Amino acid sequence: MSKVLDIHGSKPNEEGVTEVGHEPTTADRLYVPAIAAGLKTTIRHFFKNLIGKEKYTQTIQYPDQKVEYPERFRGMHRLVPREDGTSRCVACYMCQTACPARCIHIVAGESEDPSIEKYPVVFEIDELRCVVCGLCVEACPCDAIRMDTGYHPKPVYSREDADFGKADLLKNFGRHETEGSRRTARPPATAAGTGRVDRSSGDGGAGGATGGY
Amino acid sequence: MVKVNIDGRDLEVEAGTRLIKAAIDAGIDIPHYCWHPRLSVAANCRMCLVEVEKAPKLLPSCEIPVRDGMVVRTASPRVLEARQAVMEFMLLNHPIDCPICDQAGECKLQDYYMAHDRTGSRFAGLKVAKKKAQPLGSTVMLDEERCINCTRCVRFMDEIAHRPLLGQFDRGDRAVIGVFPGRPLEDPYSLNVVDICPVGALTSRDFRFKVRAWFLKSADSVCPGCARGCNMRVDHYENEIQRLVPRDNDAVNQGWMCDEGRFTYREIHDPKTQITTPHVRMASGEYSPISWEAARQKVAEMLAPFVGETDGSLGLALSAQQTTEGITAFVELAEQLLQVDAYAILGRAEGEGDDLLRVADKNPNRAGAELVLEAYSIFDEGPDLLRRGLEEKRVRALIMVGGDYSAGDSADVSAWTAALAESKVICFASNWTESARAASLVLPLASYAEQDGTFVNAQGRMQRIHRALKPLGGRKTALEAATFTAEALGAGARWRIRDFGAAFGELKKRTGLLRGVEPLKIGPSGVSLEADVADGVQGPDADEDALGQMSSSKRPPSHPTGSSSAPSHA
Ligand code: SF4
Ligand code: SF4
Ligand code: SF4
Ligand code: SF4
Ligand code: FES
Repeated sequence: MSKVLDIHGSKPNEEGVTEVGHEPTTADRLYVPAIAAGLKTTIRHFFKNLIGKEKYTQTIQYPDQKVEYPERFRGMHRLVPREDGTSRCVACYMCQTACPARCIHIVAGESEDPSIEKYPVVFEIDELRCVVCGLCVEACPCDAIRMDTGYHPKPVYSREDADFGKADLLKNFGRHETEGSRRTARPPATAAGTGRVDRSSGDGGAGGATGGY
Repeated sequence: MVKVNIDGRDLEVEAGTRLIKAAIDAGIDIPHYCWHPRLSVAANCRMCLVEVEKAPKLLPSCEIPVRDGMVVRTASPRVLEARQAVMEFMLLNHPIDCPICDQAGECKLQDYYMAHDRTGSRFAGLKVAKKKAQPLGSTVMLDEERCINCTRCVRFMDEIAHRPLLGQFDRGDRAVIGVFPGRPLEDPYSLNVVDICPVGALTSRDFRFKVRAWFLKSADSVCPGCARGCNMRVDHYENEIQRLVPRDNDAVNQGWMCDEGRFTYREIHDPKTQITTPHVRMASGEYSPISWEAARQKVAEMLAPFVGETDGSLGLALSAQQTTEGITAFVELAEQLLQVDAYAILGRAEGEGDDLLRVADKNPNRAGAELVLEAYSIFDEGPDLLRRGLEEKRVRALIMVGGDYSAGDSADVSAWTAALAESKVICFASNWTESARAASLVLPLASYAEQDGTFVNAQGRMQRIHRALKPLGGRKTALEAATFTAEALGAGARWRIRDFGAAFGELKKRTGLLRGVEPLKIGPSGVSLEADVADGVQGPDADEDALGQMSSSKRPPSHPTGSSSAPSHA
């Protein structure tokens, strides 16, 4: 009596919505069989954990135990500094353009250093809105923003506190060394091997670009 | 007329037309840098090379006039190879600093690289370093490295602005654009070179680093800077205007705009003078903000003596900065609900004019305001008569729509403000002008960028403006302000003129000039209200100067007469 819809062959209806799945059966409507099926799994896990060899338990005794994060774990953002400590960011807005959560806010300004020209007067990331996708890191042409800090944004008491400014993000650099990272540390950023002209060294644009235009 | 065949399509074009123009008009795109439809031909970039049958070499299509029987191919393998080579050559020394280049996103180098090149660099040497961020004057910034030496900017200053301030210096890969020592690029039309520069070599110092081009949203509008009514695009971001750039309209501004007009947006966002909430003048002379509800009561109280049959001593001052529809709504309000005795069209003070674009009348819609008063057979007293009326107490109360008052010298301004301060004045204004500062009640009025409407320029061309911004704060458009006033007078139920279309419809009923004009169908370049508009619009006190300006403004800008440099208008 239940009408099973063909999942793979379904065509979108006039609103463009494809219906999948099936209409609820009497068993579905009673709920009890589904609850019993769930309880079966729970009871099986209980006894397996109690007497079995292979345990199901996944609990980690945080903070005594910590998980090892994978190499490419995306943690809190940091801005990569130049040698003089200023941010490498040239305020190109590529990260802001790429960000699907629209949580990066940049205000560009004219730098006094003629070899730099443009720099971010304001650089803010709203870590509450961030979806930790890493697109900003991918988009940056200067390798100025990274998510390799190895830790999460700290809990905050108000929404404003989750807006991290330029100074905070620059401070994040190297914090994984002092505070202990759960991720294998990588050597600090250099432009070598990025295939890009490092304009931060102030060569006035005379360097040879090796990458595509 | 000659017959040519471009990419297999038979076209019939005027003899002497440049090949590139014939192709572009037929919808066949030929990439180009140095050619500009409104400038002379330089043929120096070689991006526009095409294959012409029987010609031994590829030919620059921007230079070659069409000949009868020509067979042209714009996308043959030879052409594509040449284009790629030209692109590679152009990018040899290019800094490729797109991340910090304001042109990125609207750059022809980027577009053509993606369309015609897409290869990596094979260049192993050192790039030629040139100077970056060099101000050419107060408005334009030059980056010598990004320049592709197309000389569009040089030709513009020479041929259109008639002030050859820019030149090309040095040779070969050292060639740079520059100004002569002690003669910076200071010209009322300087920012046009930024628009026509196909790359990011010339950028606007005003717009510099403000916002990336791809974040901008745009609305088509008309410049409120003078009675020329240059067609422009309002580029805005986060409810703030970022820049104003010209749109092409052969009948009005070709493709140019003056710098003064481009900066008119500053006033809208000037936090020091903008008005966004109702204000009432206290006994001390200070203004204090009040709620709209309090403002409504105040309006009702101030206008109560002028409802119905009275001896009439109320004046209505309409600013030539307002839209035709806003003005119509207030005139309707006066006709239907109030006893108004004196009408006057006010506006901004006269300024500089020239024979390229700028008109001395700095109001975008004087002709529109005159058209409305004419349609209602109302006599326009003008600013002087109205002021005398105020001084002689013939006019004891005044509604000002737009806080403008055209005054040449400061003596006039003080006499005017003194006359206003003596009377009961309700002033709808966007900014704290002299007039607003003399009013008893000041209500926030939307600027042109915050509303839809039409302007009629000095040539009698009716053009549409489109809303770009959400009204700032509590600002009301002139139409909404009329509705608000009608409601304050308790006539909200029978007040019909609540939108653009209704106001236009009322006006259309009363004048033959708008016959056949559909407000929502006015195209991007506007409609000419026929030759008789000029006569129809001018009131009994026709302004001779304005007329003189009108005839001179109809003249197209002069062009050099060299045979190869006759510009073809696109
Ligand atoms: S990680 Fe994703 S969401 Fe977070 S700031 Fe970067 S681009 Fe935006
Ligand atoms: S993409 Fe990189 S250089 Fe560009 S604004 Fe973001 S952090 Fe700065
Ligand atoms: S001129 Fe164009 S290609 Fe050159 S840096 Fe600017 S955006 Fe990039
Ligand atoms: S500055 Fe721009 S318009 Fe002028 S020659 Fe260079 S590329 Fe052309
Ligand atoms: S557009 Fe023809 S040579 Fe430049």
